Order: sequence, then structure tokens, then C-alpha cells
Amino acid sequence: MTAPRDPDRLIDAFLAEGQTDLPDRVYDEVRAEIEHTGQRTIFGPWNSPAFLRFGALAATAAVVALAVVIGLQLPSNAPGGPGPAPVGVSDSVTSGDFRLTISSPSGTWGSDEAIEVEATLEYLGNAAETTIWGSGSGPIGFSVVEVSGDREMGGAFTADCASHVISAGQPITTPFQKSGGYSPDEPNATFYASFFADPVFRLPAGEWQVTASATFDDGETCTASPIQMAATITLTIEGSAEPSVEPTAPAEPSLTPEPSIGAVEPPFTCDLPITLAAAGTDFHPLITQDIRVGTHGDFDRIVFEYDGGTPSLDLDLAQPPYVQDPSGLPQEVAGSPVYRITLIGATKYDQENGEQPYQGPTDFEPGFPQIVQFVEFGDFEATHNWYLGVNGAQCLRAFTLLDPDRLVIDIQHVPGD
Amino acid sequence: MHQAELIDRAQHGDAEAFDALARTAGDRCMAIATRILRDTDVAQDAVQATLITAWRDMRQLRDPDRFEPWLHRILVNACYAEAKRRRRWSSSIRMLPVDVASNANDILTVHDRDQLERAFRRLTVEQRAVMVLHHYIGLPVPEVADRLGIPLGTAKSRIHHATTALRASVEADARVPSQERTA
Repeated sequence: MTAPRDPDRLIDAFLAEGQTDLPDRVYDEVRAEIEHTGQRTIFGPWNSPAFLRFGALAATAAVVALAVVIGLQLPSNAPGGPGPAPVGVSDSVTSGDFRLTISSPSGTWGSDEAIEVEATLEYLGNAAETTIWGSGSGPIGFSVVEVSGDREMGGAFTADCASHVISAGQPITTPFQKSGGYSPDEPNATFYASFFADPVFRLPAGEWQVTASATFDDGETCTASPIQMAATITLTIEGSAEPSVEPTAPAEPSLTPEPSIGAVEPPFTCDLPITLAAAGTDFHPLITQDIRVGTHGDFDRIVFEYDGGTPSLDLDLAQPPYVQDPSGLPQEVAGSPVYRITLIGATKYDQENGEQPYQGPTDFEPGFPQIVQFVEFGDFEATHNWYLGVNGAQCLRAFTLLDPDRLVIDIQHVPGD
Repeated sequence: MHQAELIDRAQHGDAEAFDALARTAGDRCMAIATRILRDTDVAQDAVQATLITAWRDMRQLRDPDRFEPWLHRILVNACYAEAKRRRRWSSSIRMLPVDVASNANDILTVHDRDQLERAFRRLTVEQRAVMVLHHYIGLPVPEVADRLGIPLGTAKSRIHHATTALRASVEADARVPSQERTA
């Protein structure tokens, strides 16, 4: 008989294991690389040697200076009135050739004031401009989280894909926008209804974090693995702890922007790969609720059903040998050509609740005009992989549907099917 | 030389000073990257990319006291990029060496380690990052959120889901002590 073991201790012990030394070779390679790598020039008060020497005092001055600059750019109804000038707050994060900045002309606002927040996405590369691909609602979204409570709003993007051009020196600037949804039966539903009913951005007393998130690709289209950046500021709200606007109607189940795709089925395409961005997953694996195949007038259809969003999709031609993930064992697939369907951010296993809602088949051979075999070959690390063998090279389309959340793949019939 | 002076020099293009800074922070970066990515070679690549990015963007560091959090944010983004770049890394991944069992004072059995490794690999790379910063580095959740530049609620949520998954992987075994195997 052994003593009961603490799972959290085991997790800590597990994470304590592993290499902790960076080999000298890596330091040497870094040193060699930086000898011929220039440093970016930054335009701001923190770029001056004096700023660096003055440390924290200079940092405060710099923030004030930033607030003055922001004050010139934003509508001037910042709080404060007579007395000390408001101190602006900002945060920036850089990834590759892009910098995301969120800022507010003041870190402190009254509960009855319209809070001003904006975010900018800058292109830092050497070209005159660049094209990025992201949500049709724009590459920048906002979320709001109560620091000492459990209220959080926002973070929703529409699931369509659109191009956005950023010119050097002309960042995309987005004022704060509300997004997100809630369920009428959750404890904070009354507050959420009030928040979303208010046409201006106001918050009740307390500390709140406001985050600007940018999700986009810098390639040719939206992919399953976009660049993700987030910058956060903390705002202190003084005054009433109650919402300033009464709900105008019974709590609606959702104010999330409706994805523009789903209402209309897109045309079939023979250009591969076909990709779709994830929608509404907040990085949590989506649990597969159902998988269905069917045949219609001029196409066969595969439907993956989820609850709470749809995963990202990458659909492309597969080349033999076909193998199982992660074992690498060979997998036979009937039909030709064979497509590989990769759903990133989805799994059949609900680890949180120890359940598997979908327990149906994972190998379909329905005898439809086009679907010869549709077989799972991996469900690992929140990536759900399938092979689709069809009856001759066809055009396909993929799109999402709502209520319930579904990801649909159609395979076009050929004349005579 | 004091770290603030090294940073000052590095921000003015002193490669020697940056090299010294890198050597004070490199091991900790390696420890974090190894635990997030579960592969030492990939982790080395992520740390190397991190240090080069840090050199290039040194002048963006406004507060020298925030050097480590600033570097760790770059590191986690580099880990995300490596995971994205090697999307098939899971199939060719190398397991962490088993001979580290003695370092854990025999708390972990081989079976525990196997279960946790499988469960950890099922997590998203974003969930792994918050787990490593919270459980391994020991940062409080608001600091994890700040260091990663994510909303507090998102950090809480990721830790909750990841911890639940990892606990579930070992709790079933803990309920059947007679089946415990030794390392």
C-alpha cells in the first residue's frame, strides 16, 4: 500500500525535469550572428541615452510625454479637469516586422466617463507597404478583463478572411470596439447586457485589463497558424461599482459578430490548399460533437460539429505513404486522389470532463459518388487528422455554419455521378 | 558589470555587453523553452532566435529592470514560431532523457512520467507556456499574463484547462496504488 500522491506535486516534479543549460555553441552562434545584425532604431523618448540613464524617473517622464502625444491625437475629453495632467498608459509588443501598441490617454477613469483606448498595428519592415491577411472585421480586436473579479468581455473576430494593406509609417489604427458574447444564464449576464447596451466604452469601479489582440498572416492568405500578438494596459476605474447603463432588453444570448461566411456557401475551387481560420476557440481545443457524411444533388458532404466555435482547417492533397499520427504506422486509404484534412484546435476527447461526446465511426466507406473512404488517422495534441479518398480529382469547398457550430467540406460531383 | 550598464551598452550596439547579458539569461531561457517545446534541439533553436531578436530590438526595452520579462515574452513568441514552423514536430519528437528520474527524488514513476508526457503533449503550445511560467518558474498568474501579454482571464483559463488535463492523467493511477510502478 502506498500513500496517496498529490497530482500537483507530480506535475511540479514533471516540469522540474529537463535540460537547463544552453550549450556554449548556441552563445557562439548568436555572437557570430549579431556581429553583422543591426539594431532597430526606435522613435521615442526611450531611445535617448539620457532616458536610459535616468532610469525610473525618466520612465515616468516618458510616459507623461507619451500621454501628451496621445492627447493631441485623440478626442479631448480625458478625465481630470483642473489639477494634475492625466498620465497615459501604453503597451507594445513586436513580432517580426510588426508592432502592436495599445494606449489610453489616462490610466485612471471615472465610472461615468467614456474611456478612450486605441490600438495601432505598425509595419516595421523595409518595403513601402505589406499585405496581411486576417479577419474581415479587421486585424485588431479588444478584450476586457476584471483584475480582481471574473468578468471578461470581448476577444471575438469574425471568421472570414480579408486582406489589409499596411504602409510603412502609416499604421492601422483601431479605436476600442466591443465584441464578444455571453449566455443569459451566467451570473454576470445582467452586467454584460448593460455593458453591450452602452454605446460608449464605460466600466464600473475597479481595476481592469484592456488587451488589443492582432491575429493575421503575412503570407498569401489566412492560414491555420497566424501570427498572434497581444498588448495589454491596466486601467483603474473610480466611482460607482454599478453599471452606468441599464440593460435595454432582456439579455440576448450573444452579441458576437456573425461570421460572414456560413450564410452563403462559397463556390467550389480546385485550388489547393483550402484553409479556414479558427473561430471562437480562445485557444482551447474544441470537442468534436458529431461527424456526419452525406450525399446531395451535386456534391457529397462531410460535417464536423462542435460546441463553441470551429477549429482551423488545412485541406490539401496527400502523398503516399499514408501514415497514422503519431505512431507513423502505415494507413491504407481507398480512392484517388487522397486529401489530407487537418483540424487544428480540435479533438474528440474532452479531457476536462473525462468524456468523449462523439463515439461514432472514424472510418467511413459510404459508397457515395465521390467519398470512397473518409478515415481518421490521428487525434493528437489538439490536432485532428483525416484522410479523404475520392473518386477522381474534384473541386471542393469548405465553410462554417452556426447554431450549432459546424465545419463543412463539400466534394463536387462530376457530371454523370 | 551591473546588468543595467550591460543593457545600456548593448542598446548602443556593444556586442560584447550583449553577449554577457545573454550568458546570464540563456540557461533560464533554455529551461523554459525545453519545457514548452519538449525537445532540446527545437528549444535551442528557439533560444537562439530569441537572443538574436533581443539584440535587434534591444532599443525597444524601455525599463532595464524589465529585461527578463521582456526577454521571456520574446522567448515564448519564438517557441510559438518554432512550434508552428515544425508542425509535424510531434511525430518526430525526442523524449526527454529518462535518466533524470533521480533528480525528482523518485516522486515520479516511469508510468507517471509517461502519462504526464502524453497529457502535456496534448496541450496547445499556449497552454504549455502558461503552465511552465506558473508551475516551473513560479510566477503568479497576473505576472504570467503580463509576461505573455495576454489578458488575465485568458491566462487563468489556460492554466485551469491545462492543470485539469494533467491532473486527470495521474489521478486515475493514484486511485489504484497497487498498480504503481517504480522508476
